[in-house]
Amino acid sequence: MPSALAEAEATAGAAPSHAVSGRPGRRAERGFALLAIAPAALLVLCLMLVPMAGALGISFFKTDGVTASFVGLANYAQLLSDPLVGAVLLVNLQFLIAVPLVLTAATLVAVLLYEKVLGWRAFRIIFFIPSVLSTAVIGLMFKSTFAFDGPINKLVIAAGGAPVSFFSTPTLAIAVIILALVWSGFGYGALIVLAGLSAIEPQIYEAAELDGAGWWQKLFHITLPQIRRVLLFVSVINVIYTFTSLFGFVYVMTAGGPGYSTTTLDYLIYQKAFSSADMGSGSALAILVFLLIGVLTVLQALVSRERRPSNG
Amino acid sequence: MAEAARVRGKLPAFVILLLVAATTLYPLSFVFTNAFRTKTEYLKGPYGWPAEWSLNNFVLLIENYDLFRAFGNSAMVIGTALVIVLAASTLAAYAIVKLDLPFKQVFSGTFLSVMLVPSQVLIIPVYLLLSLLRVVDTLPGVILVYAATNMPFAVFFMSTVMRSVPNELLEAARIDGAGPLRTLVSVVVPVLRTSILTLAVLIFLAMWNELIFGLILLPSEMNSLLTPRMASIGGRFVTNQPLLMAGLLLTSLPPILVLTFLSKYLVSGIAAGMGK
Amino acid sequence: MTDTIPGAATGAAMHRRHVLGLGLGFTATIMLGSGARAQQTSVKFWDPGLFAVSADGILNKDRSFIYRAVEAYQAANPGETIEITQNSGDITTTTNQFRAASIARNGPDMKSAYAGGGVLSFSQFIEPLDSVFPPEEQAKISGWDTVREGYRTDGSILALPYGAGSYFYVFYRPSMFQQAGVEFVEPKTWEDMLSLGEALKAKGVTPFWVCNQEGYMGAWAIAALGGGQLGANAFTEMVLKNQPINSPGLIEAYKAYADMFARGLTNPDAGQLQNGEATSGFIQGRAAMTINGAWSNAELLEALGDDVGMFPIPTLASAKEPGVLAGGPNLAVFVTNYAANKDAAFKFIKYLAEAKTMDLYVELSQTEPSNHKDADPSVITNRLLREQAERLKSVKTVYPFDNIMPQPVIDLFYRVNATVFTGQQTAEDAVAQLQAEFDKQA
Repeated sequence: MPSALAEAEATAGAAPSHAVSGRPGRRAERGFALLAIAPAALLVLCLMLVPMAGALGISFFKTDGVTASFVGLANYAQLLSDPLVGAVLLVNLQFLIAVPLVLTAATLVAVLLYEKVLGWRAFRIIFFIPSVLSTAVIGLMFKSTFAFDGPINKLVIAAGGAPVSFFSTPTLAIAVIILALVWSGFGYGALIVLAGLSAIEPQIYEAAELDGAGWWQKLFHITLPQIRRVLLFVSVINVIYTFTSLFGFVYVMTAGGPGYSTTTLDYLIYQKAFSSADMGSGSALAILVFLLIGVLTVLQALVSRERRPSNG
Repeated sequence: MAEAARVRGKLPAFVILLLVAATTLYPLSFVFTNAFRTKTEYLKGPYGWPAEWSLNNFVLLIENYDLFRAFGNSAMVIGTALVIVLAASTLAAYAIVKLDLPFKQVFSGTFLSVMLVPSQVLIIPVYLLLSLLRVVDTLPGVILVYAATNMPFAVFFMSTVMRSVPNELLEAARIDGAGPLRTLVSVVVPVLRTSILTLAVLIFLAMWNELIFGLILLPSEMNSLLTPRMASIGGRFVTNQPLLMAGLLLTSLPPILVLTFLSKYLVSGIAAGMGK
Repeated sequence: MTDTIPGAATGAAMHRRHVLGLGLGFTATIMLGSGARAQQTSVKFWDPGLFAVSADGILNKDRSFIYRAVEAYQAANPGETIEITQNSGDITTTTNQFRAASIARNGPDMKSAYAGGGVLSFSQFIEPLDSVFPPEEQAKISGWDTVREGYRTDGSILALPYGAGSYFYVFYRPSMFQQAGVEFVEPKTWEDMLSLGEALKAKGVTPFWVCNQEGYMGAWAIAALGGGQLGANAFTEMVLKNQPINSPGLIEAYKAYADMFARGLTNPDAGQLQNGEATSGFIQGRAAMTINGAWSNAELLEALGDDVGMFPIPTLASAKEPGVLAGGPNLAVFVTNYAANKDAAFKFIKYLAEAKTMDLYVELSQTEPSNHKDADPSVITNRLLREQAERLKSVKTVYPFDNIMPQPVIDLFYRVNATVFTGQQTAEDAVAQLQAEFDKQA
């Protein structure tokens, strides 16, 4: 499943890697390749795959940690028929709106920094500050900005409106959390995009400028196609992030409420895994989320592959 | 002339960037001023300059929260894990992208898919595993876990940038008689040094801000890391917000300093990385 | 992209998540830890900030109870050492940590925890204390029913309850009543209290400061109102299934509670402020009254001096058990069944159970009276706590819903508390949902 992405990337690459096969020394190279990948692979195998297999195993049991009884797929069946899981999934899908926003903001900021916009020396530090601030600080900031007597509501009142309870109105609460996600994530994304920009050869720009290409033309015809792989990367990690790491933001800003209207899947896993007497159900939910993200990742790879020919 | 036009054309962009910059500085100033406020003053109002700049919160942190020891532990754990991650992920990405690696799809697919797992479910299995290895509540145990949990992202990142290294460069090195390791060290790494530095920053941030494993795998105060230690300030029924702010300020400083020093290489030095 | 669990996720007594379980079916793992511990003479004691935080809310080793107690104990018992580890104050984290360590059997010898569910959910890792505290010893201390296995009166004793407990009160500011020209008379019923609020509101003063986003204030109010309607054992009976959750009494309680917000007697943003702001708005004078627990005593007294008073959360006029005080034993300490040196742990827990040790706890924390018969009342210096201790002698108490229910029911409880208050959900619907979740757990 994830190999679709790897394959998509490989075909997008400068040259297929199998170009090197078939010549003498191939055997030695394969040996070296295995040796080179061994440290990373062993660490991941021992400390991630083995525990994951443990979690997968647990998902077929009803267990409190000491006693366990095998229940087969019952945990999964229960989750799939639970209306709460469906509702929470819908909440999560709404948070996906943050992904294109982060991508756009990160790209624009990276391009402007790359072009040394006025003040870039200061901006390149300031913009990354949100990425290093803890969720607690970010939550505090957004809570006070969108507070009932906060600056945003002062603007609303000045414009003749009535103050709004942002965090107890489901749609507005989601909007504010999305804003917080974009705000805290664009600097991080920009850092990655900048690394991608570094790979573009300046000669391409020089040639385009000789042809009289404007800023937007260069952006759409050179910059974006050249960093497509990196954009896909940023997009993929942000989708993963949306499904696995929203907990902190939601916890700080709305505690998942009102009701379950801002509760995300990872929040639910956290609650289930940590607070219910039944670890199996939490693990089963985590496995389902894992499968879901896998599907989304493959979809992103496919979309990116289909667009390729038209982009050049 | 051309320069003036260029600047004028970018003016709207500049203003927007300025506004965004203002929003990022605000929370920092909020944390900064409140870190120096007394608790009583904070309860009456957390805004504006403190009536008196009190160092009391920092003194409390040093006396009761083993600040220096925790900082040393963090430096030790993150430094070691970072070196492991950078070296292993560069090697792995090189093997996946540029070498004739058997089972290539299996490896790259596996690295990608383990990234998708919500880490909460791994906590107890990982704890039991470390227990078996007798490294619970030791720094090496956490080093291994940090290295492993950041590895998939690092391999994914390095593979993405590795593909932009032209194969002609590698071919040239091969013709010069360089083996794969020498090609990696003397050709690929120099070309990718900006990307590796970027990855180092990203991984550093991830490890520095990690809380769950840091808290659970290191129960003893003697072994605790800085960020988890500062994050668990407060306690029973009362939270001491200014003390928490002082802790947050201290935990935010090292990443900001790292960015300040490295941003020069990340942004301005970036164009030097390729094609020259 | 910092992914964090907010460290400030501490919170007040009765909203704690006494996490019921994070089990693990790894059969292999159960064998792991055996033999993992070397010869150990000292007692490892884990404290998630419950016994260490002093009256001013910070860990200060000179003024924290457990450090002072251990110091005195070691001085009196040469050769015994107690090794204290401060765990995270975040309940989910600390619970997870203890469960993982216990499955691996390399956790602590002793641990402090919240009474009620916070102890009972770990019963498979706990060494019963019946032999350590024989009946004549038990008679000196109150609160055992909150730490008995399965809440059965004949269940074995799993922990030593510590302190007489935290109870919930309405705090008020005499000066604000004066300024508004409204005479303060302690309300005997919930209805009277809301009328008092109406009088303040008519004078332009916000009556109640409420921060109920997480539904914790709701948990305290419902404990009192529900206890009033259904009796002092209301919630214990529910968990033992002698009394349904979905009952007219509990619906009445929820309706009366929602009335407070519906009538505009609170700050308008009550539904979106978090419990962390509960004391600050009151101290800043943004409302004349607030509902909170006795753990706020020290903070309120320090900030407001004489300008703060309190009375129990009143029950409804139609109450079956009028004036019942909501709250109960809050802390407990237990010995693990895998402890390497149980005798040393027992010896220390006996020391903790002595009247003078408990007095030291009260003296340093000032959040609750002692639960020992021979307690010295003079160690209470906090004016509010003194009043509370006095009241406690003459009233019946109700142990709150969120101290005893299974965790998934508690999680839902907090959420419906928040939405019923703001009128986003009906009382009937909330109670029906709670019943359904409880049935699912059983």
